[in-house]
Amino acid sequence: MKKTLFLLLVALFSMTSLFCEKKVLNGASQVVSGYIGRNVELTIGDYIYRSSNGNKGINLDINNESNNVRYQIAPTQVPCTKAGLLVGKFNLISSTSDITLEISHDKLHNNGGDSVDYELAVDYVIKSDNSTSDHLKFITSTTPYTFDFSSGNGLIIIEDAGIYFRLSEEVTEKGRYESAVTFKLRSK
Amino acid sequence: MRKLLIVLIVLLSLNVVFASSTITEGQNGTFVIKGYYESSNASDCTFRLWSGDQQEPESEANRIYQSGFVTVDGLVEDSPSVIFHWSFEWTKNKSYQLTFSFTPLQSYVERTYFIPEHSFSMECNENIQTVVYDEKVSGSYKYPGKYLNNYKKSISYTANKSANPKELKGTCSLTVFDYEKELSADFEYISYITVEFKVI
Repeated sequence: MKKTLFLLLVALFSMTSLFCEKKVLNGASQVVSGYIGRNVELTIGDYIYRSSNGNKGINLDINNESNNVRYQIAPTQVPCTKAGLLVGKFNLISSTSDITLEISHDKLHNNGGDSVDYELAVDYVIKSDNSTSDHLKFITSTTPYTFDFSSGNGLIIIEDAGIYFRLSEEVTEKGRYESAVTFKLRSK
Repeated sequence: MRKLLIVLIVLLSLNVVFASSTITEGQNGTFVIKGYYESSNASDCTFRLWSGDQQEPESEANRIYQSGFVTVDGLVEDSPSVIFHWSFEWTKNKSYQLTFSFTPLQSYVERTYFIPEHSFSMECNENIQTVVYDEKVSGSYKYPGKYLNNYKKSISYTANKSANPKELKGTCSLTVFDYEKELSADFEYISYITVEFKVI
């Protein structure tokens, strides 16, 4: 039993080190990975927003002048025109283009049953199709977006696609809010 | 053994918190956005009341916030009215009710509040909306009176939360009539006006 636990511990340490960046002192190693056949992987990064005091939550009060992200998250007069506040990233690699990726989210909601809608902007470039222009897609709670890669040349690589947050209506009720963004990866 | 288990659980938790998640075809992944909303220090509405010119005074000293008084001075037969203006701006998507209260004219003479016999009316027009607010109220009071701080006649406005821009402006005029016998131009008469806000 002890041995099994010890092995598990070692394995976990190894997994953690695989996904973390390292500071290089006297040299470092780089993991090289490859595949044969069909390979489709979507990696959703950490929630990266941190306020100046380390708070993970976004201050949703756009009328508070001390809120330094209020201009980034305030609703725009013309909806779905500006990206917003960067909160996360994702990577997609696929050896085949017959896949779809649907991104959807519910409203931000608090424990008191209040909810507000927001725009989620996804800023991405498909590196493998020689496209140099950025693609910006906007998603609200009622309008999920499905990325269809079927026009691609068989290889899909998206690196560091940005996930941006912007309110689409003003928050008026106090509370801590959360919303789940769901990624669905499907073959066609 | 127990310590090892605790370390294992902690490491597993850390892995869940800090690691990216990787999914493949047929799977779903989630990403949680967090936010909070606390009370804002900034006021969500501003009311200004001033008398005289229609142009809102730039100087803070000339503004009357939320409650104040207007002075009916130089009261003569051909100018029995005093006009005051107000503006209300709000930022949050709420509906507000404004209630204007006012007292009859009174003067403080020889340590006594002096309420002359008179009637009065107040009319308010709200400039932005097309519907003109024309409620009229009036009352009559006889000398000698006392300071009527508990007397109020009210006029209510409701500010629509979906209005754009979120601003109302209005003008009210206080008119005094039937005062010839009692009112004296030697004294300064004051009507106290109070505005109360309520979120509805």
